[in-house]
Amino acid sequence: MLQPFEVFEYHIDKLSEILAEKSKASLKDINKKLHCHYFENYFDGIGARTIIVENDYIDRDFLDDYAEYYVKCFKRYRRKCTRLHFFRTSLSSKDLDALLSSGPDDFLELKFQEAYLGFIVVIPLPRTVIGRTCLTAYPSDSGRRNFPILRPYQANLFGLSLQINSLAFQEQDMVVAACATSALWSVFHGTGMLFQHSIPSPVEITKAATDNFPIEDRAIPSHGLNYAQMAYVIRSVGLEPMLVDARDHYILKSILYAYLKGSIPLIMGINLYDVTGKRGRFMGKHAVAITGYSLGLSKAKPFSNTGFLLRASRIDKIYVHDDQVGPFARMKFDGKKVVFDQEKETKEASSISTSWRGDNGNGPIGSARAVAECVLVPIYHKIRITFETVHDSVLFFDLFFEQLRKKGFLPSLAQRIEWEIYFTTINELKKDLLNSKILKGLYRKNALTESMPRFIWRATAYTKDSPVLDLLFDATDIEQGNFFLRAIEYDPLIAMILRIVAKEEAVVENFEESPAGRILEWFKEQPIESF
Amino acid sequence: MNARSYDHDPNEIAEKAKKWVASSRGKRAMKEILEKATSAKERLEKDRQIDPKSIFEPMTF
Repeated sequence: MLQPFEVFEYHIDKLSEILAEKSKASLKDINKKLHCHYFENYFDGIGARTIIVENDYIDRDFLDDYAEYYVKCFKRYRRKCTRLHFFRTSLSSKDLDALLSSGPDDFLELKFQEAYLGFIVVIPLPRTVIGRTCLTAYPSDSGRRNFPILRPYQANLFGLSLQINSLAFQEQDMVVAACATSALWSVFHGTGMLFQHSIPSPVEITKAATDNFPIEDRAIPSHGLNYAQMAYVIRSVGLEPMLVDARDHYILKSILYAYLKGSIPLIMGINLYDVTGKRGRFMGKHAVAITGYSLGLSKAKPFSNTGFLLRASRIDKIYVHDDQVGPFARMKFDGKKVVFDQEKETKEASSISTSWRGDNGNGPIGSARAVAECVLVPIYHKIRITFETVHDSVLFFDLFFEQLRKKGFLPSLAQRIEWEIYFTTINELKKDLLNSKILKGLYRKNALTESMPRFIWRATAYTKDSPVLDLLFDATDIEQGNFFLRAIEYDPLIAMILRIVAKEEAVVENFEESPAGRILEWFKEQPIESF
Repeated sequence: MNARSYDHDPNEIAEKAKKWVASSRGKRAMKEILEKATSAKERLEKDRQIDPKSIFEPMTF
């Protein structure tokens, strides 16, 4: 008779064995998967020591897929799954036995809870075996790594409450789900919490995607979705899809930073190239969910000849849920380009590293590179002002601001300011302002008590990590309207100079029709406080 | 706003800034800023445009 649980010391070989045994896949197939290579580094990195195998587990998402497809197959597939729990300390069967047999033991319960690293559901299919997976993200490394989209997941192991902050991941089964389905499913786990919508199962996603495209391909087995189909799925959960070209890395980094910091995960469509030969060979299109970023560069990279400094340009890596690799898989902006032939022309494109193998899966890890194509952002329907509109307004304002600084009118700023532009909510903004040690008195109170919309674009200007100015935009307004809400001024001299020069006729004449016009108009309307 | 102390006379700086923006050199500098920002914005707008061909190509990996 199958034991309800088994406990093993963690080792990658043991994990591969368990994956093969519980799914009934061959060990050879399991070891060929990129996931195993990825898990080896990942579990070493987060310090896994113990695996507890929960042998009889019913997974809601797999059950939906099972009811829709697998139950109707001639071959009998199992509907029950296995769940593997990972812990960072050494635990034994005796520990779990003691907890289950010897009555309440708060100390032992806490030992399990504190060491918990998350779980993997093993699904009983021949090759695609990684089901719903919620594992801890990499540690923050003093703020370098950022995973703003994490949310709490509860796991109940024989009554023991375990919790992990994660974003759900799963491998496509290549039947009811393709890569885009898995990426959408992960993204919905993030937006579902933020915008309160239901989270469809993979089969529901595939059906929503194909309902409106009956002649594109058959719905199930799914051979992959396109951007238009993904956009339909996003609409089906009540959100609005926003598609942006992301071949330019400045655009890609700025947009992913802006939305991820606001807890909105995005989907990135990539073209994969095999780079084992002299020329990149196109392998195919793929979709991943972007779940985090690393601010590994110490300085922002100036944007073109404007010199505009955006914090997002300091991103050196992104973390993605790549259903063929694993959760929080690293992709590095290492500056390498891919040269390839397309339509009888030789082309060159900026690329990002991957953990994929080129040469038909026989090349070394990393021998396939990604060229970003588009990002698809699922946003709440009331968010009408886009990142691009705000970015361009701040860019115009920055150039004027920088001119004032260079002329010596802003003496507290020794160097050019760095901008951080991101989506936020009124609650997050006010929590931040309440924690500010710079803002004081009536100004602080007014900023905190002012009525503001639920969704806000925030552009913060920094000098050496200290805020100088916040520009706040109403994300729910319309572009024709005055969507600039107000500034939060952290430096009285800078505030005074801006308020004074904004009142000058020459400034009004030059800038009133420009994207920075609304910002300068706000400063113009503010009273000048005497020193 | 928090009260801060400065090595410079704020009123003097403010007066200089006011004069500069109203001067012909200041106006010329503002025109140059607008030209530079407009050209960067136009480049971004072009780069942000989606290649329509890509919208209906399936992601098969």
